[in-house]
This record gives sequence, C-alpha cells and structure tokens, in this order.
Amino acid sequence: MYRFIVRRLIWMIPSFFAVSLVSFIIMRLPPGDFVTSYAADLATSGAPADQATLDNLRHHYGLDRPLYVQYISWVANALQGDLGVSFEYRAPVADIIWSRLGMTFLVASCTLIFVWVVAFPIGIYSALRQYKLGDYLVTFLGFIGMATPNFLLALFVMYVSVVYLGYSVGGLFSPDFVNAPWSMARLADLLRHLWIPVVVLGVAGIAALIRIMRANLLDELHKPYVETARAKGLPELTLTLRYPVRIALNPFISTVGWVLPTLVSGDVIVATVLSLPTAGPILIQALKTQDQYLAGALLLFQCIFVLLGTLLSDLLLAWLDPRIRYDR
Amino acid sequence: MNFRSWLTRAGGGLVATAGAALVGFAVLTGAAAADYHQSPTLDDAVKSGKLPPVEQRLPENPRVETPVEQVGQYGGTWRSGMVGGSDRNWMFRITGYEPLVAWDRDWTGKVIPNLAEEFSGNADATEFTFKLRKGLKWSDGQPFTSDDVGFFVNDIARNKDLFPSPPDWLTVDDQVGEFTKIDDQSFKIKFASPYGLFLQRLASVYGVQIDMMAKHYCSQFMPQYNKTNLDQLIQQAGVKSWSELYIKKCAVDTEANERWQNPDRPVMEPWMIHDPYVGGATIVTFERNPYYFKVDTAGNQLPYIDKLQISVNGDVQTLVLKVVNGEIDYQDRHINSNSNRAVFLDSAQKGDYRLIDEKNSDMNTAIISLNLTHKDPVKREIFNNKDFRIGLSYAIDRQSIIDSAYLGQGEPWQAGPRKESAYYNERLAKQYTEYDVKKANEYLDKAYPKKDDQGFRLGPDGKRISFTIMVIPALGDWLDATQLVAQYWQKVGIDAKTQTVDRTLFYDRKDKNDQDATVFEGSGGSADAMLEPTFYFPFWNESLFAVPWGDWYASAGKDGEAPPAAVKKQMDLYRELKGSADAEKQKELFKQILDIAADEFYAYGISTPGDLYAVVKNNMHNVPVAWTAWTYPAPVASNTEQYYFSK
Repeated sequence: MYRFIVRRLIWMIPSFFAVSLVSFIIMRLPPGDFVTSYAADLATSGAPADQATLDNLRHHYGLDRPLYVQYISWVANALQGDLGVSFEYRAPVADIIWSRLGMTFLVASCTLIFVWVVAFPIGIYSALRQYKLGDYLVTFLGFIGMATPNFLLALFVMYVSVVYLGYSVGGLFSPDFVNAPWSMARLADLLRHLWIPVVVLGVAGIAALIRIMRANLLDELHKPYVETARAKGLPELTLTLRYPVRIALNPFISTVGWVLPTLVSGDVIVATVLSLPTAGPILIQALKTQDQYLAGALLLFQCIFVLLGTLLSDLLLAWLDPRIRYDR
Repeated sequence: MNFRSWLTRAGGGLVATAGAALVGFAVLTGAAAADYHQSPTLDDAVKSGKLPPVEQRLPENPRVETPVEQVGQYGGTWRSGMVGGSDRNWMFRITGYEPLVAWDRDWTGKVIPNLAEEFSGNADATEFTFKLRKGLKWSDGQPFTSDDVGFFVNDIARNKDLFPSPPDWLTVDDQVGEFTKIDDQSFKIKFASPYGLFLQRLASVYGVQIDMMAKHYCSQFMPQYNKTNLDQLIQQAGVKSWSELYIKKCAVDTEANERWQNPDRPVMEPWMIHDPYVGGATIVTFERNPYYFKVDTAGNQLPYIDKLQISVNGDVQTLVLKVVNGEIDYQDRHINSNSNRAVFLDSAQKGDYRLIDEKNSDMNTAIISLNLTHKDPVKREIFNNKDFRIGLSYAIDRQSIIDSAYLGQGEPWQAGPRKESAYYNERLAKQYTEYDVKKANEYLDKAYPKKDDQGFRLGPDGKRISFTIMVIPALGDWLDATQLVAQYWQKVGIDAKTQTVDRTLFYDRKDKNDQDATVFEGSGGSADAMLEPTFYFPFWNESLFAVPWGDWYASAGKDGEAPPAAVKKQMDLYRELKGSADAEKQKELFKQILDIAADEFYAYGISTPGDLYAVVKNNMHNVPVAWTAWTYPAPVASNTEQYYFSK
C-alpha cells in the first residue's frame, strides 16, 4: 500500500511539469497578451493609451521576453512559492488567491454536504420504489433540476430573494458586514446569504446524484446476495443499508476527489452571477484579460487538486472496498 | 491677437487683472473666514483637538463653488458599484479629478482655476506661470506647495525607472517641461517649443497626475531622498526594487489600481480611500477629506456627502438588479445601455430613483474604416479609390440602421464633430450620408464597372472585390450595424463580410496592420475633438483607417509609413496648432484640418449616438445634466463634491 502511495506521489512530479506547461501554453494561445487586452479596454472606455505607455508596461511585466524564458522563470519562481504578480490587480497572485480561497472552500463544502444529505435518501427511496408514483415524481423533478442551467436558476433565485425577501443583491454579506470583523451578527448575515449559492450550485448535483444512486442500487438490489440476506430474514431497511447501498456508494467515493478541483472553478458562472467572493470569478476574469500569472496559478492549483483528489479517491476506495486493493 | 487676450477669452467670464506683468485671474472671493462651517461628523475631532478648526484647514482663499441647484446638507453615503477587479476608473470618475486647473462645469472648453488660483502663459506658449491657493493642505494636514509640483515634474516624470518614456501631456518634442520654483505658492513650467494646448491638457483627465504625489510622503520611497531605511521599507512591502515600492505606495499612473490601494497616501480629492481596492475586495469605501479646499456659497466646507461605498460585482446584471432594488444612489457606468432603460423606468417608483440625461460626447455610434494602408497592393488601390469609398457610403441605409439597431435615436452622421461642438463641420459630418443606391452604383461604376457572373464587382486584378469587416462583439453596440452595412454593400456588388473577433485579436491585427476593415466607436465629438482627432487625420495607432500613418505621426517619422501629401499637410497644421497660443487661431487651424478630412473622406460613420443617462436616487440633489466623456471625466468634473442627500 505504501509503495502504491509513494509511486503515485512520484508520478505527480512529471505530471506537475506537464500540467504547468499546458497551462502556460493555453494562456498564451490567444493572440496578443495582457497589454493588448489592456489597450483594448482603455480604448473602449474612451481613454486610449499611446504606444510608448504600452511598451513601458510590456517591459515592466516582462512580456517582451521570449516565451520560454517567461515560462521557465514562472515555474522556477512558483516552485519557490512565488506565484508572480497579477497584472490586472497589480498585487501578488498569492494574496489574491488566498483571500478568496476560504470563502470558496466554505461554499464548496456546504454545497457538497447539502447535495449528499438530500440526494442519498431520495436516491435510495427512488430505487426501492422503482416505477411507483414517488419514483416518477422524483425522476421528473430530477430531470428538471438537471436540465435547468444553474446560472439561470441563480438569476431567478436572486431576483426572488431581492424582490420578495428584501435581500441585498449578490455577495455573501450585506454591504454593512462585508468588511466588518467576525461577530455573531456577521455569521448570521453570512448564513442568511449562503443558502442561495448552496441551493443553486447543489440542484444539478442533487439531480445527478439521485439518478446515479438509483441506477447503482437497482443493479445491486436483484443480485443473489441480497436475496440470500432476505431469505435469512434480515429486516428490509437494515439489509438495504448494510449491503447493496455500500456497494452502490463506490462510484461516489471514487469521485469525491473531484470536489477538490471545483474549489477553484466549479462555480465560475454562478459565482459571477451572484458576485460571490470566491475564486471562480477571478479565474474567468483573468482568462478574459490574459492576466497570465493569475490565471496560470489558478489553473495550476486546479490541476494539482485533480492529482491530489484522484489519489485521495483511490485511497478511500481501497479503504472502503477490499476487493480493489493493489497489494492483496 | 496676443496671448494675453487669448487668455481673457479662454477664461471667459473671469476677469484678467489689468496691468500685471502676468495675466492672472481674479478669483471670486469667498465668504469671510469666520463664516466657514464643517460637517457635524468632524465636530468631535475638532473639539478633542485631533483636527484644527475648519478655518485653519481651509486655504486663505478657498475655491467657492456655486451649487447646481441649492446649498446642500451634510451627510449620507453614496452607494455605487464596479464590475470586476480592474474597474478602477469608476473611482477616477467620481472622486479622482482635482487638477491644478479644471474644465468648467458645462464643458464649453474653458479652463478655470482650481488648486491654482491664477495661471497664465507667455505670448509664444512656451512658459506657463501658476499661483497656488495659499494654505492648501493634503488630506493628512501637511501643506501643499510648489515643491509638491516640482517633485512630480523633476523627480518623478523624469525618472527613467518610473517613466521609461515621460508622460505625454507634459512633453513637447520628447522634452519634459522645466519646472522653476518662484516661491511656495508660485512656479513656472517652461517648454522647449510652443505648447498651446498645455492648459487644456492639464485640465484634461491625465493632468491630475501633477498633483497626485505628496512630496513629504512619497519621497520616502526614493533612494535620493531616503538614505536611512529604504531597504527596510522595500523588504516590508515584499517587493524587489524601490521603483516597485514607489508604484505600490504612490501609484504614478493615473489609471493604476495602486491609486486606490493605499489608504496612507495623502490626496487633494474630496474623499480619501478607507477600504482599499485590492484583489479579493468586495466593497471599497471612501471617507471625507477634512482638509478639502472647496466651500459652497454659504461657506460650508465640501464635500456634503460623508462616505462613498462601492460594491465590487462579478457581473453587470447584478449591478442592474441592485439599481432596480434601490441599492444604488448614482450610477451610469456599465448599466446605462439603451436596453436597460425600460427596465429602470419600470421600477423607478419602487426603487425611488430617477433617470437623468447625460450628454454624449461621442460623435458616432460606429466608425467603419477601410484600411487605406493595406499591405496587399490591390486592396490598397481599391480602398484608396475615392469614388469607390463614396459609392459605398451612398449604399448604406443609415436611417434603417438607426431604426433597427439604435432604437431610432440619432441622425445619419459621418466621422465629424457633433452639431453642438465648436468644431462642427457640416460637410465632414453630413456628406454622402443619404441612402441612394443609384448614386452608389454610379460611383462604383466609375471605379470598378466590371462584374462577375454572380454580380460582384471585379477589382483591378480581375478578381472579385472581397474583404472582411472586423468587429468586436463583446464591446459596444456595433455588431448589428456592421452586419447591415455588409448586406448593403453586397447589394451593390461588393463582397463584404462581417468577422467577429475577440478584442485582443482585433488589437493584435490592427497593430500589425493586418486588417481589411474595422469597426470602432467614434469618440472625440465635442470639446475633445481637437485634443483627440483620431478619425480626423492619422493621429496615432487608434486611427484605424491608416495605422502606419498614425504611427508615423506619433513617432515623429521614426516608425510607420510616410503618408501622402494631403495627410502631411494636416499633420503640419496640427503641429502649428499645438504650437499656437491663440485659441482663435487654434480653432481656425483645426477647421482647415477638418476641411482636408472632408476632402479625403477617410472613414464611414453611421449615426450620432443618442443621449445617455444616469440612475440617481430621488433624495440625491445638485446633479446636473452634464456631458459624459473621458477627457472631461464624468461625473466628477461636474463637481460631485456638491452632490447631497436631502433628509
């Protein structure tokens, strides 16, 4: 088992370099660079900059160096913990990312818990009552949930909360609490706002999970071991939860690691619509303006999270299900 | 006419002091010192001795501002919004404009006293003298003197680390102006050659740079001033060099995010930053500057409004919803599109706000430029054929475009200054704007009569005339208009196609001169036409009809490509204009430039843009119907410090 973990960790090193290279190339694929997009931005706001200013800027940011030099110095600095400077915010990338990661983590974990708590019981119920009224109802709602684009849902929920519930628009806090120190009142304010992104982000996930849980469980419910257990007289509920549900959980455990990368980008569009102080809107903005080190750092983080998340999932799965351990 | 009388005229109603060696402007005298009042929020600080009394905080001769409607009341928080992490210019636009000399509120083109109470120039416009108000103070209470201006001109603008190339508005023939101190209040700025537009440039948006940096604060970040603990400061800030530290603390660039990131930097502006605009910020706040140098006609120190609170939004729609919900007190940026107008009117009562018109300073909704300097000699020949260009102009049904793409607002218009502008030139603005397919074909037949079997005209090389019009769908309201124009051109046998591109690709291509034709907004339509003649002759690389010619002019012949004689003539005239100290002569020279522009007919316009609007809460007052522009940064140039909330 330890050899397995070590082997996986060693493999992460070349993966990291490959991923960093791909991130960098993706960022530089669009024509022009940050200064080009900055110039376009200025010109369309009615304040065009002259060529000398732009050349100054390009030199200041080191964008006039050859691409491979830019890449090597970026990676070398990143390995020493220096992620570079965001051109747009004119601030160290690390500051920007860390200041947002806390809220991102909060939203993502609340959403995950919400999804699981709602989806598992419904999924199980739906499988046990296959082709009954309850199953049809849940299936119907589930498909609607899956088919509704969540940014649209976000707009809808936001509108309702503003117009009928008297909330302030967007964000995770009311304006008075945004920069206030932590207190019970601020916590209450946060909870009052938090349910919106959690519900909006959770709905599609819940719908999908219900379907997966139902399908997985249906595969298991008619297997001989279930019949055997039933024949031996186990109560139906105990039986279901103890055997088929545990096996039906495998796909969830093997995907739990995928939650990690969503910390960076899972909620990009919804977070933009709701003006959440999370990492998603920053990533999309950085990509739009070609703010290369900020976007690069976020993409890099995301890739590292994918690698770590996959490892985590594998370990959890091995722990949960003895049948798939490597070194039996 | 000599420079003195020009100044009198340029100064409008202000009276020139007679007989003085320098022509200065007498300034309306303020209320007697004893009558000054301050915001009640400052009373405690004054009582406890933290702040000196208001008379001592104000200069001897404060600027007296006449309120738009009436003398206001103190108090309140002005709520507005930004979108994204780099929307800094909204703050520039509401509190960032406090120049030495300013535009007048109505933007007639007059330059009036602001921090400087008197100013004048010599007859050949090479030397300008300024006298500051006595007793001006930075927001930390330190005096603002000639030394602060000298610090910027001598130590900052000339510093190669901070400005690899010096600020354009302070430079003539690549030479930065020379600063000479006369006394603590008076100083001179001298240029190597005539600079007739200096005062206008100083009053324009970038001119605020000259009083953005407090010497007593900012000099501690420079090696020539700080010999003791600079290394320590650099380390503390986590930067690599003193210039990075300087930029982080004192900004330098007027449009830099850093300008709104350091609450410690003293300012001359009505409000000072409290919660800074740093990465990850979701709200930015400002508090009043207790040392602000303006009073109203009743002797109340401005600003009236206590605080600014600006939310940082991820998306424009969020901001729109905030307006509808009554969470915004004044906003125009991002939200004032035509399509939102109905939405806002619907909820005006519930949100308790009104819409106030704003005069649009742009001259055109969309300027379509064929590339007159095309790399392909065949296309260049075709585009430079004036009959061809005239024919295409007649082929456009501008009124239908106005009706379908611009909600019926505006009138057919070429690339020329607006009717309200002092530089209005009827021929330039209106020629070839009528829709006449017969005339279009006549002109096109003169140029390229041969057609292929599908009815498309053949160029001089015997191939179909075909080109793409590059348009950025994400910006502006151009796509619909462009597609219609392409259809009209197809109808007269020209194979024009619309190509949508990202803005960076657009900029990349036009900088490399790789485009056939482009669409962009027509700015510079009012008092700013002379300062930014982008579409009147190849002025710089934003002159999309001939970027290499623009480069040639902007680099004084070093880069780009030499233009033909008529264009060179315009460039010579503009150089003469810049060197002239006489406002009437400037106007006359600019008229000649515009006449040549009309002869040359560089680019197509579609229509004049309709009025814009701002959403203003019903309890906010003293908000004028003002121009919205960048050179005259709106709304701050209409004196946001005298906006107030009624109780």
